[in-house]
Amino acid sequence: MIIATAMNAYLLFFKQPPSRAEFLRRTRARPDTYAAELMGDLHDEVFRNCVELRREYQRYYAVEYPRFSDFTANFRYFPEQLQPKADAYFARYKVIIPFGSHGWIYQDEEGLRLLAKVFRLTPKSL
Amino acid sequence: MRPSELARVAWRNHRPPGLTRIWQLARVGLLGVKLGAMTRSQALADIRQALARLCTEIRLDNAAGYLSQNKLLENLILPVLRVVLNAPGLQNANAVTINQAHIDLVDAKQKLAVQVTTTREASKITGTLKGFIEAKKHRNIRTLKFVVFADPSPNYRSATTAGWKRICRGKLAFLPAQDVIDLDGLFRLIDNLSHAKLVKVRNIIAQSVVGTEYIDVAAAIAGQAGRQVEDEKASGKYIPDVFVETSSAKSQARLFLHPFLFFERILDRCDRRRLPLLNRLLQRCGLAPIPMPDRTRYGHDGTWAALMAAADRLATDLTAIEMTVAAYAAIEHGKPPPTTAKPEGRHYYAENAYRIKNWVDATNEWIGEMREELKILRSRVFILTGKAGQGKTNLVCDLVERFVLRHGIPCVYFTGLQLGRVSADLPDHIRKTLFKDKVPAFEDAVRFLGDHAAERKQPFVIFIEGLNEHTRLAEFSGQLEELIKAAVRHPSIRLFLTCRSEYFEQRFGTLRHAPFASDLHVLESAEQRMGEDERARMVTGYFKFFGINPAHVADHAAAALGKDTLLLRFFCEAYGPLRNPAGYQMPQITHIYRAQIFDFYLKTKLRFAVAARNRLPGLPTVRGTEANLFEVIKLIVGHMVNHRKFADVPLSAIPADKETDLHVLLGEDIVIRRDPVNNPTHLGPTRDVLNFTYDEFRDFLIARYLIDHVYSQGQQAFLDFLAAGANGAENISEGVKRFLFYWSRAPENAAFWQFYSTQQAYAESYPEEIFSIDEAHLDANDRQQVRQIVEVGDKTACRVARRLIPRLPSRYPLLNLELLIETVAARDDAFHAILIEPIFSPIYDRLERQSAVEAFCESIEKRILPQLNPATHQVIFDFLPMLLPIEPKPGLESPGMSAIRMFVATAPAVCINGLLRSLQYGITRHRPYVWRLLTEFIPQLLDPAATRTMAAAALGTATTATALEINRFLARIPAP
Amino acid sequence: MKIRAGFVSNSSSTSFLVIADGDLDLKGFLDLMGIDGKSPLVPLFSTLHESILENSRHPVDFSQVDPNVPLKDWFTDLRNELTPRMIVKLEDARRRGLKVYHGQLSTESNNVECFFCTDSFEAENDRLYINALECSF
Repeated sequence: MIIATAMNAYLLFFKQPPSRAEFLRRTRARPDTYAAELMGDLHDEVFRNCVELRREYQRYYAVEYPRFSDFTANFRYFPEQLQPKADAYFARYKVIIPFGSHGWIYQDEEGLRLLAKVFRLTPKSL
Repeated sequence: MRPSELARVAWRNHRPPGLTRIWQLARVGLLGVKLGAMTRSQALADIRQALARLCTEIRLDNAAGYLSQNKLLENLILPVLRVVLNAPGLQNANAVTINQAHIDLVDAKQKLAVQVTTTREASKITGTLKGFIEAKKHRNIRTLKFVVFADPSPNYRSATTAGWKRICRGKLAFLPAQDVIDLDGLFRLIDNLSHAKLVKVRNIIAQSVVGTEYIDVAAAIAGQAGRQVEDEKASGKYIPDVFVETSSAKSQARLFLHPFLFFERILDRCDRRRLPLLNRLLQRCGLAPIPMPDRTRYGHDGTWAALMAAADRLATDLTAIEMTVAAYAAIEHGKPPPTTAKPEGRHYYAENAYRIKNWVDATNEWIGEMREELKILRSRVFILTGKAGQGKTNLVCDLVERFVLRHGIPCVYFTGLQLGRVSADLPDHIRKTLFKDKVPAFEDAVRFLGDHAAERKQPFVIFIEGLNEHTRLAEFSGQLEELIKAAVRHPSIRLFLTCRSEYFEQRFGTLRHAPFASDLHVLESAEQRMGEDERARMVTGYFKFFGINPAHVADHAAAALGKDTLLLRFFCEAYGPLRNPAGYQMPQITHIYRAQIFDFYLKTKLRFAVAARNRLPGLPTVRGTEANLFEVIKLIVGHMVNHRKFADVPLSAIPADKETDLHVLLGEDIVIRRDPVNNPTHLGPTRDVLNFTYDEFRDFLIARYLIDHVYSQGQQAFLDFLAAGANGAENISEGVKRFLFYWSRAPENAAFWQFYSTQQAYAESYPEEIFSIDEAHLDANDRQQVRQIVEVGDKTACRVARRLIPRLPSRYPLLNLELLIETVAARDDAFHAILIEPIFSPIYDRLERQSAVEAFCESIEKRILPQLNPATHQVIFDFLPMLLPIEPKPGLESPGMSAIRMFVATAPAVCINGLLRSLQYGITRHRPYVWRLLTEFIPQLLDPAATRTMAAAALGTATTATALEINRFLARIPAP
Repeated sequence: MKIRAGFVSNSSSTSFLVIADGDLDLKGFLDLMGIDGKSPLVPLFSTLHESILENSRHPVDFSQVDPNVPLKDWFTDLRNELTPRMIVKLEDARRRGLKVYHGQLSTESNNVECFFCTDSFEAENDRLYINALECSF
């Protein structure tokens, strides 16, 4: 699932995140081309440079905040509308990533569609 | 009988073992030859008992319990062997380097290694020797010893020992008779020690986990901090639900309080770096890459020394990055590359130099943040300072309750106020509180606490909240320094202190220059960093706790309270049902006026004090009334004013017949407090003095007193008082001027206003304080005066403009947003740039969650749109176009653009109306933005033809950028 | 609006230069970018292709133009000076009679164009050369 939460901001929910190779295969970008570099950077940004909320919570905050939703509420990772569903998301998805897309992909309906397609996520609105 | 059996029998019978020398010495001991404070026989008996217990535990295979291998090693065996083997440099091998197979303890200097085992099987020794030789450890280690904690002691066959010798032949001089030390052997070695060393070993063993003097630290501290938090809750100082996590204070605290865990988080941030992208860019430009932090270098074994060493390695690596980056700092677009650049990257460099420049800045910022985190991690004393009532207590209680205790971090929690009531010196008080007299000196207490924490891979934290609340600050600051000095000697002891900012610099400023100054981390708490959401959550929490029905407080009044935590607190204390008698009906609050709230607070507190006094048994029949109590307050303020000294009023200022009333007030600890101060000459007795609990409240009372009792005596007396600061007396504070201003504006003080409004002090207070005056008490002159202040376009003008923005004309008919729009619209772009732009600066503070424009628009979205009324809210949309040109670099894509696009979806009419009206403003820099938006909103235009005409007419005078946008508009709008 | 890596934003346009053997067709463009017609990135790069064609208001077809006009005169509307490497490329294009598209991508246009202003790239195969490196600011 992918949700646009604000300008240049998305929440990505993965049941099984794609490996870099698998991801590049899906984009059908030939190796050593500009498209492959662009998409490789996008993958790195999402999976290497963004905070993964489940891991972050379990590793550092689970003792402090008994529920995942306490954690997301406190750090305001989720917009208010999604906050009530935070624990359900935690149970359902293996990887949850807030992604600031500015500079990584263009922000509009088409950009959202592209992200959804390459990450194989269902776009949902707030 | 073998020695080990002898020993066992002897221990069982509580008699010395059958070793001649021990017997002899024991007899000497029994004969009364003292070894220091202890006889030799006593020392040996103690050692025997403790080791017997140790062996029993081992035999019962209980080693996995509290006698874990590591605990034994660190706590007991290592210190004993340091003495017994005369190897003071012996250390836990894992602390020296990671993964030291075959060795538990090592003394690098003496090239001595020790393997400790609790199994009797020879195979353990055989395996270790083989591994040791295979790993070529004999190159660095000359002697390898085995200490076998097994009962009965093992008896190895000669074939086995011969085998060991074969393994070591030519490589390691291994003599099983000497180098395998069983329990009996250990005893022999202990027995041969000098008397001083014997007592030392005895003390180590006695205080170890198996000794009789073992101090159960966990039991000693259990529950203390939790109880303290509960006390703070009961007293109303900690209100859990009002705590709102903001800024970086709590994240910094986490790092400080749990460095072992949160160092990993720093490393995670290292992994998340984007440096590979920079290096790709550098490589394409023909430049040398910057070194990458390598996470594998920052591992540690869980000891403090290793953690700090890992942090040091990271800091060193950051420095290396910083230095490489510095070499690229001078790069500029259009200039030649550094001489080190490879020629094949020239063309890429020429077109991407600006990119490197951006990366340099960003990388330096990242390094700065990482360094700051490492500094906090390494700090030993965290000092949180802040103004009164900004939630320091709440932060500390929240930290202790929800972080420290949940993580099981050992800690104690005191308050400055409590410590002030104790006569003992601070370190001694802490020692006694925790250990009574079981531990003789604070240094020992520190060691116990530190060791206990180190085992848990956590610090031991001493929280002292509200340093400034201590009643003997001069004495206390000295004690605190001593406490810190002693505490930082142990690597795992940390202190978390809070103090009001003004007191900290004044009374505890010496800490900054103490020998441990580099171990301090001082954080000024920043309430202003709270976003609107957070403020609202805080207000809701306070209201809930004090039983205030939010319906009784107007939204804008609640918002005003959210901006000032102390005022919010006073408000809740004054108006909330929680602090008022049963049957109390809270009035409807539509506006927040500081002086009024303080007034009400005073009355509530006096009533509270009277009620408390009436509850006291056995008082004289003449009961204090609120008027009596107020009389005492007046005497104190009078003394301050007459002596021009606003603190430390001597007790003698209160006549004997008012002492009972004074004590009632003091008992409540709310309005005034009693502070003992030392005689400044350090000779003679300590005397007690009186102070107000809150400085701002004192200023409020002084202002009232000045009007009622000084000004009423004559203008000159009042002027003399105002001028006194210049003549060396204590200056009156800004706070007093502020309240004088408030009082002067009250209609009943019109005569005073006539006089005071001509004074410099009044003019100084005006720009800030006029907004706290009830609009009903303002007039057209005020509107004119505020306009003049804004017209100047300086910092004061910006501050005033900031105050005008949230004020809608419907509620504030005089000083409002409309006044600001009128003023700016009549001026030019330069004025807009110096007045409006700084307020909505597009620079993001890294601690801010959003830019000022975004925050403003968010508040419109939440507070205005749901109840949009074009009649009252149009003014906001008239103002929004002024925000359009505010963006980091001109690109016609400002945050204001995004906001208006969003608002148009819900409120097209007011938005477009605002855009069109803004085209009449004298300023012009917003116009290209407006026309671009109008182009997008063509389908929503109410009168496209009129707008088309307007566009065509505007073309003539438009700037190039505006003309471009107008042309786009004209190209897109359907022809008439 | 360039932000790669969440950092500074300060460019509002990127100059581009495309050298093609004949017209710049979509298929050849997608091929150089590294995708085929089934890639989910087709909409992204098609828009970029359109933007390049749209913003290249005066393409220079060296097989058609007067060979005596000095090279730089064809590119006076480029905001920045041609780098030596570009000159080499263009000399080669003139020699071989290739077609040159040039212009600026702007942040003030559509989102895709705006996005490519945040990035810089250079790509080449035997039919096509694209340079979108230099940002004007």
